[in-house]
Amino acid sequence: MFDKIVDIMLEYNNVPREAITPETRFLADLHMNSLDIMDMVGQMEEEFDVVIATEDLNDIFTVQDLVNYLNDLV
Amino acid sequence: MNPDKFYIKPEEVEEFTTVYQILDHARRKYPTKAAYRQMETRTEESSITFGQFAENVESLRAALWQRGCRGSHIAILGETSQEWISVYMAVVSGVGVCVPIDKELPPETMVTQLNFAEIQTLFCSKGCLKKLQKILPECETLETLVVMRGSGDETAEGVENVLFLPDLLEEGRELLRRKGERALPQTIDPDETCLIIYTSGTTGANKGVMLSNRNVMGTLRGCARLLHYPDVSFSVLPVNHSYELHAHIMSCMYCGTTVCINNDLKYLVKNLERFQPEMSCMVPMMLDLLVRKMKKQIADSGKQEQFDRMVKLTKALNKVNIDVRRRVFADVLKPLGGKLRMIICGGAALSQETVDFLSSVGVQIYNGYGITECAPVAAVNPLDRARKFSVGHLLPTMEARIADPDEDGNGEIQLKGANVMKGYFKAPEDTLKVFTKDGWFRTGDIGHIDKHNFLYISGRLKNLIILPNGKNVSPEEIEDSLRKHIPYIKECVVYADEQNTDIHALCYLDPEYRAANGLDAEEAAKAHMTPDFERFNSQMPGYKKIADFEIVDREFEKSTTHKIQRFKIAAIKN
Repeated sequence: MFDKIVDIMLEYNNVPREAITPETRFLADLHMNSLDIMDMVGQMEEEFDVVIATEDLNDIFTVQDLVNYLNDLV
Repeated sequence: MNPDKFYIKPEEVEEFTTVYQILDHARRKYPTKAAYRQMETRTEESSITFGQFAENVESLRAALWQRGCRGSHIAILGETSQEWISVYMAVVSGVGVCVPIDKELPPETMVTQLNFAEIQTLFCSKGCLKKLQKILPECETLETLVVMRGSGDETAEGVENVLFLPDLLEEGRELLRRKGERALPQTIDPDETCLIIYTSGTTGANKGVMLSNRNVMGTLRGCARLLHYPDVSFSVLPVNHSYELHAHIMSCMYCGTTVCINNDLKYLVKNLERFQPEMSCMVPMMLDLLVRKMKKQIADSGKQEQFDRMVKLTKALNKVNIDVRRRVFADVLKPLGGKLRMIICGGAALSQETVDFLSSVGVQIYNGYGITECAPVAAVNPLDRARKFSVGHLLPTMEARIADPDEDGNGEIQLKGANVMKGYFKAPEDTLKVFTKDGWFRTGDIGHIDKHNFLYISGRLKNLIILPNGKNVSPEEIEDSLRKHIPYIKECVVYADEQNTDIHALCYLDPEYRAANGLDAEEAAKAHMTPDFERFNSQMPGYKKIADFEIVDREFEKSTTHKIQRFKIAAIKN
């Protein structure tokens, strides 16, 4: 799960793969803008065949938060 | 040169004074053509023809009219949908006053706006009802709630009547069967207020702009004479914003353009591929995302060198009027659906690099100048004759003048004409402030007009910094120069200190650039930028030099229209 998420994240960030850890924060560390995050969420939905509610994103700050959230859904 | 040469031949629209006439025109001219296509689930879509859509609007008009909604204030809150648009059309067509509410606002602000506008009926989508549910009892004047796109089992605490849109449509159809034309409002006064649109509040509190059918038609008539809308368009911006609603969706109705509705920003790219539109209205952030995807696709395919060669070749051919860009770059255009050729873009500064890239592959970007108080379009760049650095040609429905121009001809832009609002709702003092004694609307924007009636904007009067030596400095002009001079500045805000003696800048740098150049630490970034900053200052006249700059770690806070909320930054810094 973590590796697949990182694969998708790398499309939005010009950082080396090893720089992304479970603690990495989408806004504070990767400086992703709101539209990038929404587009990335769309890709995650497709990859994991789930629906991610936009309001749930308010509680997802780090890569680990996203891993946990998707694990619950899948 | 006669400015009229920029106008497309006047058509039927010239005679129209109400939005209802646009609907009637579309129903007669394009009865079986799809008016709207929208997603119902992740994979299934629905569509409605202009004929069916007009029938729904008539049914709604009848139902609301017979329920006694005459002249009442009716709010709409929800995602863009054909249902949303049909409610808007019905209300402004002789029934009452339509008040669109921004679905991105916090629920408390929604309630404030609903109460201020004295809303009696609220049309609310299922999704938004969830957000508003808890504080609905605080809506003092609300009597009826109509659920749009719901499942039929929604409830709303503290509201007398809860109805469902399909039931209301059926009620209207029955009324029309029984009473015919008598079920409908008999007249539509083009000069009566039919719409209250809240401003986005980039300079402070939201105000309710009162517009009439004649005001809205000013924009529609003007756009129809400067732009040609293609067969299929794509709606991605919020429908409650006057720009998307009037310059895009309503103008498409006049031209018989099918509007495909994006259901969620998550699916922007997927829906572009699905609907394959030829046109869209977007904000710069969306273009940046699309360009990044296209560039990545080129890089991943290992054809970067070939692409660069072809750009040079097609550019050379274009100079001798041979345009093969779209054929040559057909693969590159795939993330945009393959047919997108025209994007109207506004709301924030757009990088020239993005415009140049899209133009090199055959997608043209057009800008315009709008303000909610002008319903909202005052100028737009005509197709194929856009002028670089201009925000567009004045609409034929508008007149403009420049008040107190400086030595460069720049002064406050003042407007008069069919588009200009009636005033601010329940704020006569604010209304008086924005009109001159001889009836011109003060836009608060600074700029000039050339002899061909093209408008150029250099800044906002409200943001103007007046230095102790009497010199006026437009922060937007300096920000624009700074971004052009230092391309890795993604966003910046220029402000004066409390005494107005020095100008300072806050800069947000492109995070990819910072990462690629080892500038993650603030000190490193500052040291890297300092020589570029000094070079910039050396080219500026004394009074426009920036005393100091700071690097900020995140993008600036923006309004729901993606404009930087400058007043918040100024308040923090001083």
